[in-house]
Amino acid sequence: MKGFGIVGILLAPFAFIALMNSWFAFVNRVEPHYLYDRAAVIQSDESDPRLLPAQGWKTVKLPNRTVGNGTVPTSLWYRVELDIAEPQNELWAVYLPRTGANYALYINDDQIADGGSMERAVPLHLEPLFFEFSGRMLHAGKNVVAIRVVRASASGALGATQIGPSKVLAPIYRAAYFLKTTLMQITVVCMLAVGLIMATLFRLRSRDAVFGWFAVALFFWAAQIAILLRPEPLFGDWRLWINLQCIAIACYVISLSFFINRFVGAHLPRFEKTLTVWGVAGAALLILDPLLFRSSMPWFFSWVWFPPLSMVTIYQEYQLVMSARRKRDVDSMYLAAIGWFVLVNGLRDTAIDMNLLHAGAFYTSYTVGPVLLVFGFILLRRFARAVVTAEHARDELEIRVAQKSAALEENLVRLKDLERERALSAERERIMRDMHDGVGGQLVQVLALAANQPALKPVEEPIRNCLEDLSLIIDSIEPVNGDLGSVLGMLRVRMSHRLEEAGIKLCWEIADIPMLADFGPQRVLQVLRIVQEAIANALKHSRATQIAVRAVLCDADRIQDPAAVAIEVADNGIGMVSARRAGHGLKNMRRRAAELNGRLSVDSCETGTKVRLELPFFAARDVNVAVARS
Amino acid sequence: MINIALVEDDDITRRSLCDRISSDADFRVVAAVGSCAEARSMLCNRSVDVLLVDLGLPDGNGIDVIAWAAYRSPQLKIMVITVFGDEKRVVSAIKAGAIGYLLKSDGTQQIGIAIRQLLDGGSPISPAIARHLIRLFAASETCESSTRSEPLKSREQEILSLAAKGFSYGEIAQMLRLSVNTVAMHTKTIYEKLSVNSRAAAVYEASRLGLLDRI
Repeated sequence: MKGFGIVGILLAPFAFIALMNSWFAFVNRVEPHYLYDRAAVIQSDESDPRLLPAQGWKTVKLPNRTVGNGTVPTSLWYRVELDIAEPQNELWAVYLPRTGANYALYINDDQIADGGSMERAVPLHLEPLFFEFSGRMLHAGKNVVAIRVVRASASGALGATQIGPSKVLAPIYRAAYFLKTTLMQITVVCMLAVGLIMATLFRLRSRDAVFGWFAVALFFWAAQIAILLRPEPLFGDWRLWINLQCIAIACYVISLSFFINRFVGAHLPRFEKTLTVWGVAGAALLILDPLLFRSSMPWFFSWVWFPPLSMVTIYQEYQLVMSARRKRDVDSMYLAAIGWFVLVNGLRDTAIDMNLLHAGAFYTSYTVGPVLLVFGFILLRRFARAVVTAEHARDELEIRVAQKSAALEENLVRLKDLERERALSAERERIMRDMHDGVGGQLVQVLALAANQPALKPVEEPIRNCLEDLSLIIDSIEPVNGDLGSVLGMLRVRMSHRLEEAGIKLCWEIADIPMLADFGPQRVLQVLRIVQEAIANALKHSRATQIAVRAVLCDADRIQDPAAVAIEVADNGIGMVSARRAGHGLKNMRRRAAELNGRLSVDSCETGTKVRLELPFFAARDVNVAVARS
Repeated sequence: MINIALVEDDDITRRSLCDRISSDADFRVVAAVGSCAEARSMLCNRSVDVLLVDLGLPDGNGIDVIAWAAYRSPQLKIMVITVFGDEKRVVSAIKAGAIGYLLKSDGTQQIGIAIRQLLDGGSPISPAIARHLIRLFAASETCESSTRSEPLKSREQEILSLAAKGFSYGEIAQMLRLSVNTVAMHTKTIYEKLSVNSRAAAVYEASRLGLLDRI
């Protein structure tokens, strides 16, 4: 498939040449009945056909190329004899496919057309010419059509001439005019439009600056074609006009070369400098020579001017191909393909110009269409890609904005948590200070006083309980962060005094429990009170010698049985002998458990009592680090 | 005989503490003062093994006394005396250089155990303090390197997490198959790391604020 594509690209210019050949063949068709390919010719500066000498005429075959001396306008008279059987009523016409010169047309010595100055030569008059005249001007028998041609340069004077009814010749003329003139005019307009777009792109997007050079090349190319289309020089000498066209071609090649170097990323400053110097020097010569010396030098173009341009073009095409091989991107491949297309046509035209090939018309100007198509496609692709990139960037931006705002929101929540934590901390600090300096310190004082006075001994126990209670409250408002283990641990510390005094052995079995969510001061205190009450009950009433405190995490194993934390206080005492005495404490514990959304179960028999508190478990987010930092 | 100095502003409590400490035959209270200034001049004049300091003093904060004393004589064992042994007060005292705490309501026996443990190596870490330390070291590990403290060894972390759950030294030693003394040594190291780290952090903070240049 790929090989097929490459063969297609290689063959494309030749297919194009074949197509143009057949188009030109169609346009250059003749009506054999009305074709006059022989004429008598004489060189004369006379401006009236009646005053032409009778002698000295030569019979030539048309198209006739007469070599002039190239410096002064050459005036030639051609005479074609027309045999008409009977007078004609319809409109007749003379069709001159290519004069390449100024002209004047006479039917039986009556002038019917006048094309430009006869004193000043024109360089190129490539337009097909078509002149209509009334058939009544012709009479039966022999008629004379005289054509005066004034041209400057050496080659081309009069092509095959067709004279006949207008309705027969007009379609031929129109087809030729369209191909040779209208199409070229459209081409120039398109080139200017695309060139403008590219120049704008160059101004707006520095990344596409390289296309600025292509726009310049396009402008020069358009200028060259426009010069060809313009029969009369706008100013000055006709040689200068021709030379301007050649300068435009050189400028086109040089700026195209700059474009290609930049497009493929070739850094060739010396090459470009040489090319520029050569171009400027040649242009200076081409401008000054016709102005100062009025010489015409076709050899200069054929052997000095165009061959290096062809070489540069070949070299640049080589660069394009190598770049396409290297980069393998669509833009490079299209450029290399269209470069090859133009190169083949350009070389063909150069060969024709150097008389190496006798093939007729120049086709390079006709490659503009495909070139513009390819560049239009490349630009469109870039535009589409830019749009896609922009959309992609926008989407990405939206996603990132969404992510950022989510993160921001999360931070806000975190900040609020911290803020709350900080407020709590300040409040805690205030209460703590009060307790320390106030009630706590005073209780310690009273305790100290009581220790020294036997009469006060009975208050010691209640005061210790009081301190223990206060400690519990303080522990509950510490920044616990869901750490149940340490809460129970602190309870152990607070109660160890009493347990030791009672001589009870404590089995401490606290498993690893993940941090609990929603374990604020109030819930902490509720848990502490329940466990404290359970231990206190065991201490007071059970006559136990051993108390076990356990805390474990019960994983969710069924849907009905969600994860829970179980805290157990078990003693080896005599059980709850008096339900009434235990009743009040139990009721309190149950109430607290209900407030915790937990479940309290009491299992009591003669060998001991087991109080079990189950709390629903929700794991906390990891806020420890943030809180500790604050 | 162990020389103990006491800094406590409340007369009754101070006297009571003196009595409780003195009832232990091994301990001798060489000084009992009620203010920061007295504490400083006392420390300049007496040879003291153990210093017990209350925090709320009439002419300043006991923390300053602790920091000053710890800086002046590194071999001095310092404990903070508090009513409740709450996290904030004890941790700030430990950061200043104290090793453990006493409750003002502790009896003779408990005071004796705590002071002996202190002299043997480390003092018990209450669950709340252990919880605080775990968080503190965890947080410093995520900090940038300049303020990063010396991290805890895994053994120290194990001990801290068990202490946080309320296990006693004996229980921890049994669970980790260590001797009680080794556990005490580890806790001492933990206290020292905290104190050293907080001093390093203070130096860093001071240099950041340009305070050191002015000295």
